[in-house]
Amino acid sequence: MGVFRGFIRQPAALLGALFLLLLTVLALAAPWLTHSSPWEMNTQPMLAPFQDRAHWLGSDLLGRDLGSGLLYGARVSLAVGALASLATLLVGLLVGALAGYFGGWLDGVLMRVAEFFQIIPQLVLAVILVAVLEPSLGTIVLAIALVAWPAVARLVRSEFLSLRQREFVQAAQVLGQSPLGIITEQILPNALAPLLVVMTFVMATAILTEAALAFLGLGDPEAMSWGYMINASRGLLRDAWWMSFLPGLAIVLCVLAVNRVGEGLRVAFEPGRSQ
Amino acid sequence: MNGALYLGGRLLKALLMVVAVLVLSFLLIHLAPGDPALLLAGEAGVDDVQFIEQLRQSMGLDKPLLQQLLIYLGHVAQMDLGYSYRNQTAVWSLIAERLPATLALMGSAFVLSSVLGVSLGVLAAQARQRRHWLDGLISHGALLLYAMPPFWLAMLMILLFSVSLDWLPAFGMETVGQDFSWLDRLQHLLLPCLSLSVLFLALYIHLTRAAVLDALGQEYVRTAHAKGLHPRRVLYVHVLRNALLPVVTFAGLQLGQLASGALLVEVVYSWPGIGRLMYDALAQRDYGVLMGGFLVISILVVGFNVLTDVICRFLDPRIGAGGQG
Amino acid sequence: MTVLSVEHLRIALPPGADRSHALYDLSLQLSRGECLCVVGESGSGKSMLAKALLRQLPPPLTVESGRLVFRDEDLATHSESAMRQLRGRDISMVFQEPMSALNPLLRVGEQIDETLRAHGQTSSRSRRQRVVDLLGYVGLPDPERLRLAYPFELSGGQRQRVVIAMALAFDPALLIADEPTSALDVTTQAQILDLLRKIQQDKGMALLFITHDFAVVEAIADRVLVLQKGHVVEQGSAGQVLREPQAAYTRQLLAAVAAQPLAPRTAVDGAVVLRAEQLSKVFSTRAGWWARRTTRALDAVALQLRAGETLGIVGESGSGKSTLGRCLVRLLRADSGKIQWLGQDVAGLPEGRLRPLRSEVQMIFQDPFASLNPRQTVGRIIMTGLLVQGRSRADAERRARELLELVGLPATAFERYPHEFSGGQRQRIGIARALAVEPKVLIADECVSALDALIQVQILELLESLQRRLKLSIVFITHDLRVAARLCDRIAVMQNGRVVEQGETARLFADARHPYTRALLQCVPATAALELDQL
Repeated sequence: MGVFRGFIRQPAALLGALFLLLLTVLALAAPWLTHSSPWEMNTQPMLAPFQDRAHWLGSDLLGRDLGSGLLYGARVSLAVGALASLATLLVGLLVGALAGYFGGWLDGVLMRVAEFFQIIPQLVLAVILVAVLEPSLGTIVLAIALVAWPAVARLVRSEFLSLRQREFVQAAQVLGQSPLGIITEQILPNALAPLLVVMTFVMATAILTEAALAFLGLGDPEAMSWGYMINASRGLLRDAWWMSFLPGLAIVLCVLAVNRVGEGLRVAFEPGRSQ
Repeated sequence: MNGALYLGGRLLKALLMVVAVLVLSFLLIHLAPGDPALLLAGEAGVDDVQFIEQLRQSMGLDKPLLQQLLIYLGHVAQMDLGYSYRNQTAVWSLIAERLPATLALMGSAFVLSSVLGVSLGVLAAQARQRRHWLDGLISHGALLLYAMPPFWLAMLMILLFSVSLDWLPAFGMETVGQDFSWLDRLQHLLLPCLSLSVLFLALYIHLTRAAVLDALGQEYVRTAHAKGLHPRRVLYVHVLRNALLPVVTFAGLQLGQLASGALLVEVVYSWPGIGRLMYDALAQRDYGVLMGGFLVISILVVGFNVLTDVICRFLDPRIGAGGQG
Repeated sequence: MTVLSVEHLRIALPPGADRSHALYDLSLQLSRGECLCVVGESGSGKSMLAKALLRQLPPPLTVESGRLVFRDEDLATHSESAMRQLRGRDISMVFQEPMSALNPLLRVGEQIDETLRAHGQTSSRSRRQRVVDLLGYVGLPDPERLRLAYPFELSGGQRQRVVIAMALAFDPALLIADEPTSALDVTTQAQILDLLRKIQQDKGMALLFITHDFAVVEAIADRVLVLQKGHVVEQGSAGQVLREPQAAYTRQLLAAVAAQPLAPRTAVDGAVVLRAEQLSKVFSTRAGWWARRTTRALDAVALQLRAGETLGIVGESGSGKSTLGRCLVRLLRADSGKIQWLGQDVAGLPEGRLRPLRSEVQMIFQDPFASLNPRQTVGRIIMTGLLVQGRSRADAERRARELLELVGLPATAFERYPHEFSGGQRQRIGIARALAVEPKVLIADECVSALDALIQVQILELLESLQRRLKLSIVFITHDLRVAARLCDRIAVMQNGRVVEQGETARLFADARHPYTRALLQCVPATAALELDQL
């Protein structure tokens, strides 16, 4: 509870969290907020914002409502962000815990593999993967998890390594606590803080990667994504700049919000601050 | 002797990574649903039965998987990355043609972002020490830049510098129809380079600031001041020298990101590099070119990574000498 | 001739600190060739004095009033560049941690060289010669080669010598040493102190020596100044302050560092509760690509502990005492040898079979800040062992509250978190945690080393009283022979993984046989050991 209080005392973090909450609500309520599917070409093309009551954010090249595009795009960004983060967490946690707790040759091998996936160009690999496996929500999440897991694994491993040597963990061993008990009671609660912070980084990267994939034409073909919207309006930069600007702005705000939440968590978790 | 051993070790590691890249590429080709030969022939070559048959033979698709891998490794070793039916040329020659453009873009962006990023990071750290507002400005500015999708930022820059102000060109590497001129090339390079630099600028600022702040708090900096050294000497020799270490290590790891960013920037500016080539191949479903591009870029990145490892060793005598780093 | 005169120095602390000033009204005088020791516990403000003299107070702190007069010049009248000229040339400083005082990326010779360059020595040949001379003067072997070494290639003592050489570059009139030997082994410390004394005599240098350790004061001080929470409690000649202290605080401090046993020793003849025979452990670490560096941490160690006894294990760093402690409590598996807990062989037992026996032998750890889980309440920490054993929650809670009282902590501590407590209080929590499972044997691994002298005494007294009440047997591991003498019935001295001597405390102090033991005894302050003779 102290952590919660420490968190909401920071204006930037609080703002970020509220923004994300609001965006989630809006995204979930999209079908009720807009009466049209974002793919429907139901109005005059190239409509500027604030001109038409029914389409107050304007329309794109083919007459699709931009407002509903943004809302449905939020669904994709948030969903991919959350799912990809979860998948990354699972893989990273497993690999990192194995490497950190058991050490030895297993640790060496796993860390070399992690280093490999960190060095090779991650977006390019994701592009190839999604291209080869045919774009869909599942493949996008898989691709992002495949390139993002090393950062999480490294962190989990280093936390395990340092915590395992910490005297309170040794005390628990001397008291006879089982390895599972030690991991759940002693190590994980202390590794939680940096882990949560890294996860927000992963989520921010996931949102940016999904946008890049959609921009390149590898997004989920059934889902309207912000990245897709930016690409679709690329040729019209001169005449209708808002078509590319608005989705990009949405991405920036999302990433900023996630980042500030992460920073807020980091500060709130510092022991001694939460009182 | 120690240094030579370390270098040997790094080269071995690089070789292993290259092999890993190759194995990964191989697996990716075979991961896709369907016939790998059809995949590599691409949309264009799917109908040419004879071509497909030739491809099957050369890849050895009827043989066990391990043997196929060895065949593949053998091909790559001979610089044979496949054939692009669509373009009717060997994949390698397509890539080799585009390589200099990508290298120019990546190289210039790397230099710009690192030099500017490190300088701003140092300024921000010093400002923080004196509780000056400049730190807030730089740090928050960097945060904003980090949050922007690179392709979107590139488009904004085109909007500003090319469309509104009409200062710089926004398409390709040279003005069509004009004779070759360095100035023209440079003008075309400027916007793409800036766009690519911006993201890494943010990362370098953040990292350098943290590293410098950390170094400033170290005991040996206090000792240096207590010895009566000039503050400038303390900054350059004691603070920066030590802070640069994590930055260089980071730079090595970021090269892959730089390549990814280059892909996006090349698409937006139609810069004739490997990234643009791959984007076109994506649209044309020409997987042979895609795989070839991935391979070449990855190997490049691994190579540069070894270079930064060696530079780190040069900067920090503790690495590889058994002392605690 | 007075080199330094400090008059009524007041240093203000920023609002929110635990007191209003770091130093209230400090005055002192230091003459040429004289050594003044400033003694105080942590938080007494002694380090602030050094920083103020060099005008290097960390920004929120300021000199509120008072004069700092160096060689008849008021330092306040000096500009920053004038101060920079003084630093390193006329006033030099030696810090506590030699590893962090030297830049790890620069060669040792170069770091001395830059001082020379900064103060105007332009000829590189004469600089090089001076560096070699300085390194030789401080007793470092092969200075020509050593100046090319990096800090990580040298030992702690060697690094400190380099730092001293750096400080001596221009034969400063005043040398300020802030706890320069606290991070070193006792024997190395003695060598460094010898060096400093020699330099003082040779060059007639004034030495301002800041420390918390009375052994050091005894070895080197001409005059002593005692600080408590920013106030000067006592000041005078070394002989007078050490033998006839005027202030109550000084008397307390001196009593705390006496080697006198806390309670009269009773004969011990109970059954053997802990036994080790032929215990050996070898560590091998990777060094470079193929090589492996092996360290023999324990070499056929044998010892036994009887019921109700306190056995001290004394050694410097690298002696293997910590490894021994960890092997005895089975945190580490020894390579060979026997360990018996209450008669039962445990050295080779698999962890699963060992677990039910673990409550017999428990450990108290060194670092009060790292030995408690920061995310658990104190009550939960103490209950850990009981819950692991399968006791009910209510039962465990009741017992934990009892233990809080037993170790002298308030009942409200139960719901609080470790970071709200001081170092001494956290050690009490650690003791309560260990006692919860009702062990017969306690292994205390340097459990008072991280505490101030006065708090140390409190914890030792607590251990002593707990031992009597609960009939505990204790293995007390420490690097400080004097501390061992306070609590232990018998002492075993370790060096390089072997027990070189063991025996009853009084006998050891009066008549040590092994040269290493004698070397250690040399470093115990004479005033402290005085008490022991009177047993």
